[in-house]
Amino acid sequence: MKNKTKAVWGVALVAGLTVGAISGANAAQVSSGAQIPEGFLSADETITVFNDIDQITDLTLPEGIGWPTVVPKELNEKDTVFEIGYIETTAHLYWLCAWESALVAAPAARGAEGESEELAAVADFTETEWAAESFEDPEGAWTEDVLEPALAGDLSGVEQDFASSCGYYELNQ
Amino acid sequence: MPHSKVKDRLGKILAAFAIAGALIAAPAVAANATTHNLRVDNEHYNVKQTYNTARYHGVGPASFVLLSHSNVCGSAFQISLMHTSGDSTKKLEWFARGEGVQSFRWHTGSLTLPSGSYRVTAQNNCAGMPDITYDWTGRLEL
Repeated sequence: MKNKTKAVWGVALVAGLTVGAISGANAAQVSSGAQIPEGFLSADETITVFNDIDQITDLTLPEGIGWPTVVPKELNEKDTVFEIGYIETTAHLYWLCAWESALVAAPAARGAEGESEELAAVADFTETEWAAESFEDPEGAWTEDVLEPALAGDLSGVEQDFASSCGYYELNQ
Repeated sequence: MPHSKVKDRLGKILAAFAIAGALIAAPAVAANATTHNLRVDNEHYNVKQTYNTARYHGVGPASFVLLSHSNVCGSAFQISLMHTSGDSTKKLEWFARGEGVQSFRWHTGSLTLPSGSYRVTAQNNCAGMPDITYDWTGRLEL
């Protein structure tokens, strides 16, 4: 699967960025005076990772779509720390929104067998290494609500998922 | 009307009220909710910790119960859910374990949470103990 090979580079890049961010924050504290727990980054450190969001995965966005530049509002919250990998999750959810948007915008571009680049990308969402580790949907509700209808030609689930979940993506367009 | 029939009818009315009361008091949980058993060791006091795992939720209610906590420190353990959009639920609070299930409210006050992926945020303040950690477990119905 193409995402497996991409993931090797993605993990290496995330690890590199994370180590860099941590080493630059020796015994960092949040403003309450509490130390930053192991496995977490301060909001400022997380923003540093966010600023390199285009490098932390090897995911490909639809043509003409860029990675987000608007700092997620939760990163401005006082005394909040974020688990390492937080921005990788943000990147994958943003990537899904981008492909859902492209799929809804171009349903006619599907081939005779209902396959398209957009549909294939949306179908890849739960197949990534990130999803295996950081996306929990044990009952397969997302697949049932969103993916399976789309594979059968019904994009209403994709439209609903986009409308409900992609405000941050739209903020960046 | 015979006395026994009056008692029967009264019993049915009381039972109906009891069932209605139980339904009102019961936490709202979606019929298709998924159970997530959460366990966190060494969470730090006085910082809000946001986790990176995204949990998918179809539209509907969601609830949480704190099953164990090593020391709420006279304050409150707080938990909320952050949606993909960046909006969050209101915080739920426990001052001790065993306080029962609580339903999340969306920031608008609704018990219905929009569909999408949610990340957990947890916090427990404890004045004067910034470097002490605590452990907790809970059951999230999402």
